[in-house]
Amino acid sequence: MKPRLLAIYLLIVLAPLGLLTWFGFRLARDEREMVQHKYRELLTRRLQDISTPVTRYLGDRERDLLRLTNIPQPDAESLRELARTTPHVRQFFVLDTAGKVTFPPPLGDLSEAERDFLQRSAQIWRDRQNFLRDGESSQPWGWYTWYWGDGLHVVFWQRLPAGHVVGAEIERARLLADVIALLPEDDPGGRVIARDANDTILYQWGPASATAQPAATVSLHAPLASCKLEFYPRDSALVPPAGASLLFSILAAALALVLLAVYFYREHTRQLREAGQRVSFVNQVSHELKTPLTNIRMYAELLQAEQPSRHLDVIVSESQRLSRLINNVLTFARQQRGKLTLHPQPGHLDETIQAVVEHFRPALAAKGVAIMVAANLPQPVTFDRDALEQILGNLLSNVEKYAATGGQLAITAGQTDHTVTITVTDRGPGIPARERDNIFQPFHRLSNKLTDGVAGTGIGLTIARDLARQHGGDVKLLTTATGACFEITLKVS
Amino acid sequence: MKSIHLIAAVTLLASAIQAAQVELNVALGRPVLLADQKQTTYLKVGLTGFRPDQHEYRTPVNVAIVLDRSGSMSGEKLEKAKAAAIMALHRLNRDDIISIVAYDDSVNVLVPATRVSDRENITAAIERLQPGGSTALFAGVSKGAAEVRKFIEKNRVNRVILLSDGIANVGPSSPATLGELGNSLAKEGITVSTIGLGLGYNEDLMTALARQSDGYHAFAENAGDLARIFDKEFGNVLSVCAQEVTIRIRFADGVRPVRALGRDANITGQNVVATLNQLYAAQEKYLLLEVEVPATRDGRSRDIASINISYANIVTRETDRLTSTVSVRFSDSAASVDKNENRAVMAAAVEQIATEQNKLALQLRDQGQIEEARRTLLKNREYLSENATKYDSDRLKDYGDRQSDDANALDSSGWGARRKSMRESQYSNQSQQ
Repeated sequence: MKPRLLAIYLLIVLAPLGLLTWFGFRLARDEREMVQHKYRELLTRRLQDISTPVTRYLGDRERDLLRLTNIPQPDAESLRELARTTPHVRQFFVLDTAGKVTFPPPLGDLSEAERDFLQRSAQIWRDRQNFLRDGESSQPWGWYTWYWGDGLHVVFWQRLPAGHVVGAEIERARLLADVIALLPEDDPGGRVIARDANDTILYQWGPASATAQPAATVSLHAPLASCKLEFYPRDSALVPPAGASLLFSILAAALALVLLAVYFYREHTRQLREAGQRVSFVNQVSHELKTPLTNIRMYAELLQAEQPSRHLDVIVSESQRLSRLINNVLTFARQQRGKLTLHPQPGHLDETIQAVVEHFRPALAAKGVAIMVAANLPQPVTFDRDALEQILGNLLSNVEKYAATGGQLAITAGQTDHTVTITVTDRGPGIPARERDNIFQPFHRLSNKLTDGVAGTGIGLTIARDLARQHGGDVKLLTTATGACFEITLKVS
Repeated sequence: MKSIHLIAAVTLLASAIQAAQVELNVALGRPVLLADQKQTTYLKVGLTGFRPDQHEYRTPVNVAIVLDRSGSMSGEKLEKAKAAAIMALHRLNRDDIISIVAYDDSVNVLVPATRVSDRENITAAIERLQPGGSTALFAGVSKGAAEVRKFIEKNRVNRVILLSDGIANVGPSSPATLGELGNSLAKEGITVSTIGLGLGYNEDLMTALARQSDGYHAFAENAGDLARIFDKEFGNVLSVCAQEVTIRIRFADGVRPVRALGRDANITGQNVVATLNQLYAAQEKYLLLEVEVPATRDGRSRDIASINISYANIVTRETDRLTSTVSVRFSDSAASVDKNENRAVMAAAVEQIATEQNKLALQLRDQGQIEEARRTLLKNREYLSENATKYDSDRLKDYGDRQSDDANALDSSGWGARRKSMRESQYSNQSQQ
């Protein structure tokens, strides 16, 4: 009983707690994800704001270069002079209509810087189609970036109406320096890191952050599209406040549930204990009552034999009733304690049935009930006489109490092999179909007019069935048109 | 009306003539060459700055001081750096422009480019400097240059002065990249000077950054040297007399410029172009070229080159031009060749060649070839002392002595410091600092 109870209580506590935790965490996670998503959007917008001047600056450089490279008739001297004085340009170059490099002149006089340029740009001339690809879409100009030596190199090129291409290699370091100069230094609510193509840090500002992953990333405009700004928020900014409070509320709920369970458990055990005390009290009282009652009954029956009297009949009948009641209570108590045992002895069933019927005959006769007994079991069998008496007594007592209005009581008995079948049929108001299953439950009483004003303990049928089952049989309510018909089966030998 | 204009123009012209000018001195190492054989000689184009009249004129300055405040600067280094910056501030005029930038993990513009009128606030901003974390050198220079750019003017000395005591560990950090940045800034007229403090900085990076813009570079082994170095650098800044100095040389047919010694020059066929960002008062800077002259008969002379100089005169705010030509005579007599040798040009050529050898020795040492490096240095010393006698040059003799010091330091514990001072003197020789 106790471990099962404990398991039930644990289930009562743990199941809702588990569900609560699960839902809570799901809810918190969803909320956190939403908050993070919004937060990322916010940070991305902030990064975009930060990168706006950079974009504008790079756009300006693009326009500058469009203007600078718009040279219808480029000549070596002016291109060299232009490269010498243009801060953002390292080297100019010209491709003829066939796409061949005409400046710096591969076969003419070259400065060292020009030779270096031809060397590091050799691969882009081989890969011309790819390099001039931007122009195929709409605009006859574009950027091209390639790796050579220790880093990235960038060219800007423009195809002029005459068909030749004028381009410029950009001082990438200068571009980066100017971009860095445009980036702010004030705390943006975390650390922002500008990274180059190979992930090295170009510039960073804002307080150092413990987060390892950027919460938002924005790429820069061409030709620095391989560079990006990353936002590493201050750790406190991303931890959702829900975490702690969720844990707290789950703990609170768990505490409340545990307290509730403890309260119910204590209440339950208290009630059980009280019920047990009551039962034991009733049991003891019944025991105490049994001895004097037996004496009263014995002397009343003796007196009745000597000088019969109507008053004595009542005393005997009532004392018999009282002893049945006490027997029922004691049997029930024994059954509850699991100590119900039978003591089968050889005897005649006929006689036992007849004896019980005789006990009830005066009371039933007084209520106008005609008794028909069709018992035909003359051979002796081994059975518990007291048990059968108690079963029959309880059934007949019910007839007397509830079914006297039918005016008839029929008892039949038969035997096949080792099974004795006894039916008790009345013509009373019967038992409603929905109550058929409940009548054998202890303390259950039909709450209709039948019980009104009629006393009863509600354990008679329970004891009858328990005793019959103990005897290897059963008590069943058979379906009949009118009245009630109980069938008792017993195993005998 | 017309005549008034004319008079005004003449007056202006007269004043321009009277105003001091850069002195151009073009000379060949051997103005007389042996006849009938192809040979090389050296062409030196020397430019000496004039001293502006201090009573009437003072060079306007636009300077950004970019200070390292990485963790390694904490203590005496930062205190001395602050003191040096404040001292420099007091050398500037009310109309000069200064900005103070500090960098560690990130960069802070402590004083955005502003006129020096409010010295108290600027001093306070410098005093507030606290040491921090890493060394974002590239970003520091970027922001410093951006501050200078706000007030960039042709007639100001536009300069970024960078102080660093550590390896650039945040942002681009290769000498090549920093060199590119220096090159780009030089084209705008911004000069970058670099001061390396202690033994932790990268001297290759610092010299690469200064080199392109002809800036100043110094190695301050102790924080105590900073005051002297800042003082020298601000002395330089205040003595600038010419900027955007362009040297164009057109060599005669048949004469071939082989290479430039020391300073970078763009050699394309017969044309050579070189740029110097500025000239300082009474200080000579020169471009030295190795020239191949074709075989010519005895008694003949040959034009070698015509030289065109243009520069922005910071006093008159005009672009001045200077021209010169140089020719060579040919003789059968070796004695005549020797007798006519220009000692100053030859000494300069020896110094540049020895500097190249010194650089080579340093490179060998970097590659772990210590013995090879030592041999190179000792041979260099022989070469220098031989020529010191020949051209009667104390400077060469001193430099020769330093070669053996360098050789002794090759595998000593003092190599770190020595490498820095070698780089410093190489840089100083090549840019005639």
